[in-house]
Amino acid sequence: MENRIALIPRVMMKGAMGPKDYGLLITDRRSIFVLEKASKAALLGVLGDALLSDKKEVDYAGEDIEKLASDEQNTVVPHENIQKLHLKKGFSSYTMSNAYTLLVDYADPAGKTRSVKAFLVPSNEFLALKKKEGVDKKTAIEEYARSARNAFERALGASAAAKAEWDV
Amino acid sequence: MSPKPVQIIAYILIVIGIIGLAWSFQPTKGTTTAELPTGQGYFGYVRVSMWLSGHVEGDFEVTSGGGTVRFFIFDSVQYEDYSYDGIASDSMFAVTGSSGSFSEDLPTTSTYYLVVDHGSTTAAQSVKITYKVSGLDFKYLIGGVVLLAIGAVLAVVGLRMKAKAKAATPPPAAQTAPTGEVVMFDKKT
Repeated sequence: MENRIALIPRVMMKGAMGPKDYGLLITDRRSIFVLEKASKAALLGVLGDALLSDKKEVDYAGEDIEKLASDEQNTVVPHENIQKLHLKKGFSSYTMSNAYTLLVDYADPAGKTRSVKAFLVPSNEFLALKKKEGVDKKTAIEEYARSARNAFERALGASAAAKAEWDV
Repeated sequence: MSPKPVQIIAYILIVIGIIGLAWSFQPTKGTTTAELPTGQGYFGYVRVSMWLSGHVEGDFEVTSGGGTVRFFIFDSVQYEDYSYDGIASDSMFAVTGSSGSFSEDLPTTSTYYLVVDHGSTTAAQSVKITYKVSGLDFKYLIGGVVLLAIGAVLAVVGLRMKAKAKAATPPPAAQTAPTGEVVMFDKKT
């Protein structure tokens, strides 16, 4: 029986046509990057966003985990195959701001090493909520990253946890 | 009605509008041949509508019939005067020859005319006129602005329809992160 541990509601990954929004569902066996929004082609701007990228509503608490994992648009990282996990802080030329980046190296079922690079970019709703609470943006981003770290620490087994490095 | 078709139409109109606007700044080039029949008082012309200001340049050449022709550039008042009796009492530019070139600023919003008529002969003549007009093209400019405006209105309407539709759709039963915070699942699910 696979158990849900946590949901990181928004991470961004690079795509050929621009950034893509993912929700990261972490279970006790694997991390599933669920594609929510294949984002805009740069030129189309606001309209592109409106036309091309309807955000998927995913029921992370109720949806069948296997179904999410088997969707070809999603990326699945089995925890037991993690070779290295690093939550890194620094300036991202991709988001043009200070950001936390999740770097995961893992072996795919064929034994080949794969890498996932995802930016922990909190949603505007989260930042607005924190602002209302008097928390500045930098601190809010740090808090988001720390929550992500806690989520991984709860989810990863001892061997995977030993391969993790945290900058938060 | 679904908001998507409205947004797609808006997008298409905006793109066409932008193309129209860009096109309005492009110089207009043209070549025409004026056929002047045998006899006095015949002339041929190219009409140029100019918005704000611009420039016209080009050349002309008698391609059949021989002899020379008179070539003029008139503004609308001068043209009206000329077309009444064929006497060019005033012009912006005038030259006589079997060929030649011209270059003249068109200073204000007006209609201008490039005119050729018989010069040294009243025999039939063909005159090739090649011209390039620089300046804003009014019809493309207006067309572009209108399409952009309609597109923008439709885009706003589409976004409102989308927002309305979204507001009317109940969220999934167990949507977990409305505030965007990291969610820890307490129970084994």
